[in-house]
Amino acid sequence: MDNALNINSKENPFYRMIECLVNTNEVVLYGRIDQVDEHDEQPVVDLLKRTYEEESIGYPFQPPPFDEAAANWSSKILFYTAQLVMYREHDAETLTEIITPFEQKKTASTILTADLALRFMPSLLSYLKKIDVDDELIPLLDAVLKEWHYSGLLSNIELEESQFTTAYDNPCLLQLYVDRVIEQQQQKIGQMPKIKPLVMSAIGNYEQLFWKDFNAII
Amino acid sequence: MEVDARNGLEYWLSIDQSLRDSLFNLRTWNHLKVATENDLVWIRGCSLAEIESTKVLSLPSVERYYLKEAKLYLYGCRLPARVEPSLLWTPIQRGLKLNLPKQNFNYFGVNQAHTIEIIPSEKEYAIDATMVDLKALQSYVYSAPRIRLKPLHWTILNNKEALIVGTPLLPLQGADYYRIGCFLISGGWKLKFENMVNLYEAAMPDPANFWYLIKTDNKISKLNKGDFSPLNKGSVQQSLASINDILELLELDE
Repeated sequence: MDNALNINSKENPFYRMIECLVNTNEVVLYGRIDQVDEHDEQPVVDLLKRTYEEESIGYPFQPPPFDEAAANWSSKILFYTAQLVMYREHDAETLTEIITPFEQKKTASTILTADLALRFMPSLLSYLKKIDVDDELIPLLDAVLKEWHYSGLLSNIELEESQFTTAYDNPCLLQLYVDRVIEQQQQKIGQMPKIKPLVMSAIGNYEQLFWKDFNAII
Repeated sequence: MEVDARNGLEYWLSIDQSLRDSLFNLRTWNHLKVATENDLVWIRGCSLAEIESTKVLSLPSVERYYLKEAKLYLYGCRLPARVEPSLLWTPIQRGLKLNLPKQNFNYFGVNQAHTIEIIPSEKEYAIDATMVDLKALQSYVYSAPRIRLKPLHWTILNNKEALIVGTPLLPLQGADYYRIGCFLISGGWKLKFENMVNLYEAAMPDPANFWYLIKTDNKISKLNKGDFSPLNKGSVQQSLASINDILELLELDE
């Protein structure tokens, strides 16, 4: 296993980037790569699986299982985004081919798995906005974050009630969602009927301490 | 120097040198300044509220003035009483010094000693720590919001109770403790000689790195601050799993 890891970390730039990101929260790229090799994908999924299993011990309620497809999709999306932000030589037309939608049904499992990678997307996006506000990539990424709004909570997103699909009825995901709403002080989302009672029960009597203007007029 | 903002006037007062001791009540207003002139003691920097307060009015034979264009007017009068004297002003805390009683060299009780004790008390303290049942904690953290757990640290005592340090407290029933110096003391009790706490703390080994938990039977337990870890579901689950392993091993040994 150790041997395999060594080979991975040396010759697999995709794996090296994700590993560095997971361990240190820093993006490091190893050359321009427009297409990830298929045999490079599995080690990354395994890495994310280990990370997910470690992290999900701390999730409230019964954490949903890891989802390989979501891990694969989200890590690639993040990798390509970092490439696009870094090299900025790609044609605007090819962007939709690179930023592909996730083809399977969204469940609590996929949302939490994809968050492992997508949680870094808002920082990349805000970095990109600093370089070039009119970049064609920005609306695409905004759409991804809006769709995966558990990760999108880390930036400023606009949400509609209808986006709380049945996947968000999972108690584990819902509690984590509420935690993130409180931490990010997403006031509008906090006031939504599905979220508000949970926010209220989480902050309890300590509204002044945890979230001063939760009930302030927007 | 605080001057009443409404009329921009600064109020002064003077008192006879022989009555200087009665001024010590005013030391709490540390913005005041004090000076001496022949047989008078002057105080300046009062606000309107202060000059009208009982603290000032109760001074014996006090003269109150207000200062306007370098002239002193008697309080309530419109004709100047005198020109502003030029004096050497010192802050009141320094100008009116407190003399502490001298050490009694004829006191022979220095070898007396007592132990650290706590006694029941009515005094209220803010609670800083709770001791709760491990099972109750486990079932609470199973579904707890992250924000409630974040400010807290915890450790396990005697393999069956959890001591949680930090506020706000969790909505769990348990024994409460409050912190004073490096000591954690049961709620409803206090140190018998509370003003000795600094000496007690200096006497304990390494008070920076340890908590000393005093139970109601006056037994002191020493807790390493390094043994406390942030409270979250993962740490509770893993600690409980390892405790269960240990308990199983102990049973096997027997």
